[in-house]
Amino acid sequence: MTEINLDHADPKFKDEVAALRGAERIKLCYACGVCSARCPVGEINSGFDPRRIIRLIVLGLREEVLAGPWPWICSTCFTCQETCPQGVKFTEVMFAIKNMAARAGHFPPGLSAQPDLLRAKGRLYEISDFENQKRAELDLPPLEEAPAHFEIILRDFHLKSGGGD
Amino acid sequence: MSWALFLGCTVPVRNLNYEASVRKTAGKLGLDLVDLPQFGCCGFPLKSLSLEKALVIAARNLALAQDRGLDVAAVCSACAATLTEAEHILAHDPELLEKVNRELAELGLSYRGGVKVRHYSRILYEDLGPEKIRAAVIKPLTGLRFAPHYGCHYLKPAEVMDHFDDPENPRGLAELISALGAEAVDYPGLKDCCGGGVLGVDEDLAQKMAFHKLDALDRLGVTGLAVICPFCNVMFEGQQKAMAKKFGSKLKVPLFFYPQLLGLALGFKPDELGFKHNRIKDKDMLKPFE
Amino acid sequence: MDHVLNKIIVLPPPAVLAGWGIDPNRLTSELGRAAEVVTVSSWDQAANLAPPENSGVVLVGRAEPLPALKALQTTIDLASWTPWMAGPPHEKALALITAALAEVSLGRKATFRRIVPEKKVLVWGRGPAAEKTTAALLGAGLEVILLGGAPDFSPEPAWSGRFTSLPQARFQGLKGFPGRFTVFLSSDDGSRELSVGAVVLCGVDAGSTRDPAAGPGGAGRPGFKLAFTAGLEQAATSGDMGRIMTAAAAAARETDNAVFILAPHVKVAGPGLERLYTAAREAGVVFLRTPDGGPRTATTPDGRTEFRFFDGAARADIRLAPDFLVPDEPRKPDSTLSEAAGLMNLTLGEDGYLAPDNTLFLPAATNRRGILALGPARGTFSADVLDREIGSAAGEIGRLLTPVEIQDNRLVNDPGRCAICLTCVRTCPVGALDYVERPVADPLACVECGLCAAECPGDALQLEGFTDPQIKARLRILLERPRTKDDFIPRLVLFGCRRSAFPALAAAPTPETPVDLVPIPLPCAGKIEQDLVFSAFLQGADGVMVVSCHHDNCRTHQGSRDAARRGRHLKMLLEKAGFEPARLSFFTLAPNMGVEFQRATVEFKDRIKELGPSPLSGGGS
Repeated sequence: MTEINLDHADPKFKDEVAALRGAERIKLCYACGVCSARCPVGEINSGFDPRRIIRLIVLGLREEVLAGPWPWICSTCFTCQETCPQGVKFTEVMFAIKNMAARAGHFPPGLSAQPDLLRAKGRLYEISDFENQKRAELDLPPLEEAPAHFEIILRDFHLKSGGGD
Repeated sequence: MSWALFLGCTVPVRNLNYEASVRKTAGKLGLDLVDLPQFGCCGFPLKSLSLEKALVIAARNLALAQDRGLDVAAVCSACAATLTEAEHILAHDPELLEKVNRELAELGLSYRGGVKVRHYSRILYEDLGPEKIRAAVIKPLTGLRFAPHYGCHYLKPAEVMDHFDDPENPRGLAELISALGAEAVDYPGLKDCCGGGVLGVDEDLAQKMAFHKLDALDRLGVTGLAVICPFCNVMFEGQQKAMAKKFGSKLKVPLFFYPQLLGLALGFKPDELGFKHNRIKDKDMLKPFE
Repeated sequence: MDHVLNKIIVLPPPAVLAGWGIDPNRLTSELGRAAEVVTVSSWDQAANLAPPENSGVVLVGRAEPLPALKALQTTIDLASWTPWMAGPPHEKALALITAALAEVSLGRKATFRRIVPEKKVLVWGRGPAAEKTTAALLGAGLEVILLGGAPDFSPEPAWSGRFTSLPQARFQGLKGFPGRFTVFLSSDDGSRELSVGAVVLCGVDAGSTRDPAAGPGGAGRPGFKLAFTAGLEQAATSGDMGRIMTAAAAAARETDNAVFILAPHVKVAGPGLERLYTAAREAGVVFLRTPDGGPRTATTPDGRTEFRFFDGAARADIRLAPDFLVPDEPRKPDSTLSEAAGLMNLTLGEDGYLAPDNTLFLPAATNRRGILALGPARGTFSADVLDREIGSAAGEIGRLLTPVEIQDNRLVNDPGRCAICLTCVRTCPVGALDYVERPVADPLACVECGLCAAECPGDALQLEGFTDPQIKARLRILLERPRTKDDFIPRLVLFGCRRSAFPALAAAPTPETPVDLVPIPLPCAGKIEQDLVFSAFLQGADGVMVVSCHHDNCRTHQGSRDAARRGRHLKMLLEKAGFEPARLSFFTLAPNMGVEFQRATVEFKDRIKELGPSPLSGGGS
């Protein structure tokens, strides 16, 4: 992206983001860049630039932010969040953006399995006799899968198809 | 002191050495860990997709503990952070608590707030304290040098964690290592993220993040890296050989869960602490403890 | 005439002196012939020295005079100064004290006067600022005359006995001094005079806090973009910035429009600005930083102005074509302000408001004590800043209008030399001088900067403690000290403002290479005179430094500029005389810039070392 035409931007986007838990202070960013300077992901992939992501949100570049790869490669290390002089919780902003993106159908392919696993097993990994046998070798008590509650909690939760980009 | 033991998804399947050493050391130090069969996922895997659902799942676990009158001891840093954060959010937002409780009501549960959530290492550091641990040591780990890896979610967000340790200059784990008679090695990459958070999305990126730290430690020459989170362990132990191959390095940094080291110092045998599950280790180091 | 009778040297305890490498017994015996030597264990003790009024006191080891000690005083900050001087510690201390003693010997005894100010204030202006100020002063127990207020304005009835409103009267002039001004007014029925203790200029405010207009609020169609510019044509003042941010924030809150502020720099270094900036961001205003050369502009096919510029944070070019554009233009103060400033000798800022760009004029001060300016008179845009100004003004007036006992002979005029040219009256930056048979300085108004004395063409006016003979005596004694024999260490005279240069010296790290400094404090760097610089060179200085406050931090808003101007002039004269002008250095410092003081001084010393000994010094190797 070499040019941003604000005729095609969505000024309400920043307000929608700011209304989400953890992202309340996003509009206070004055672009000092401490987040980007300390970001361990940005150190390896210079395309990942927290300050730029905030700027794109504030400028209203909805599609650029939601459909892009950036929110998903935040390592959630919280370094930026602990350092921000304006109290912008960037890691939480990334979670909020991921939620929005997921609702819009943008999420990495691996993630769609997780709600299904939880509904089926109540946990991410299967507990079978094999696992419990290995546990018994170390005197660890057997475990069981208890998915009932998860079926109820997640019964209406379905990712919009079209994810996996 | 009694705590509900929250194992999470990964540890009881992938890190039996960690779980075994937690149970053994807790027993020896007088910490009563109670198993709640209904405990399941902490909610963290859903946080990226739906903060609300993640919160309900976390609150479910808190409510289960509350029903038994117990605080929660978690062994995975992501679980500890998710549950601590849920308690923190609900304590500050009565409206949201009410909303969450409407969902919990369908499960026959309700959460009134106030359950304390602690990472097992934080319990050792805060509730027990390095001095008591030092006093309980039978076989000091003299001459061994361990680099602590705190991991991100163990300390941060500091506000949620009551600033129990300083993320910019953490000390707790180093003190816990020193309490065992070993040397806690300070090193330049102490605060670096393991990269585990992006492993599923961008393997190459995650490996570069983890390799950076391991490579530096390898040059420094340490007995091993002490971790307290299964995700950090996946990066530093599980990915180590692949990274060494990929980046053309001969690096070998043994990995330990801190409670395993604690267990050795408290007089347990390596087998009791599941050391055979450690994939990168120095067998000679364990000989004195056989 | 009234020279001081007693000379007292106040020394710190022997252990302190010994810590500075000085032999206390030797010092006492060497000084004992010249003056009474007193050793004190605390400065409180020194403040109670008797007999005070006809004494000249040298305080050894102190940076500032003691306010409680009613005597002519001079201070020697031994611990800070001596590391910058060459020679053995004992000899340096003795020279400094001897020089100070010579200075007080040439001084006059201090006389004091009791002043009982008029507890009456003239408030001039119309609108909320004038009315709130009136209420605050009445609330503080003062009497208020409101000039030019709204005819229907009346404060709470309980205060009516102390309130007079003169809505129609016109201001014709003012004379006198803080606490006892005489104000001249005229109206259709004739003229009148009023005695007041203080004057507050509030300016005229129509009551609107919402100009410029917040744009077309109703134009809420989706995608409607409203943009303000701030400082694209010429730098926006902090007042302009405040008004623009206020209007933009209101527009963002009250409409669904996208609101932008295009500015090369967002000034938040003014009262209340940072809070406004935060409020504007919270309201959704997007700040776009334009490049220093200005954004590229074009016109879109539908007739909008389009701005294009690179945005560093977004790492991309931005195109913005607002549907409605509010270009900034500098706000002009109402015409009465410059008239009032002329009538009262007040310093105006560059934008025409009574708020020169100088931190010492905040929050409501003018260059004249007892005359304050606030609200529309200083271009204030926000209600909470106005409240702060009023609070500060009321406090300052309360302090000023309290009876006080004060020294009244710091400024001395020699009638035999005075040509009654009134240069001093015109020069005084704080309006403290009047001519009543001879120039007199009002002790409440005078800030003792000495600019009048520096400008006086006949040397008829002198500031006690810094008279020409006093400064020259100090200079002579310190320049007569023996030079180091072996290696050439340039001898540098420091003429420095006591508010900036000397605190900076005290805060400076000790130089790593030897320096041979001659410390000469001045009340304000603007006190420097050609004569003093020439004296220094003629008596062997290898270099002369004149060090002043930063221009916009100068107590008088003038002295620092005067010093710079004289420095330039002197360099020209030196050059014409065939003397290296590089031997004179002028620079500005803030009091806390110790490191910078060290760097500048050492660099100057190295430069002079390259030039070699002064042709006039006869010193060096």
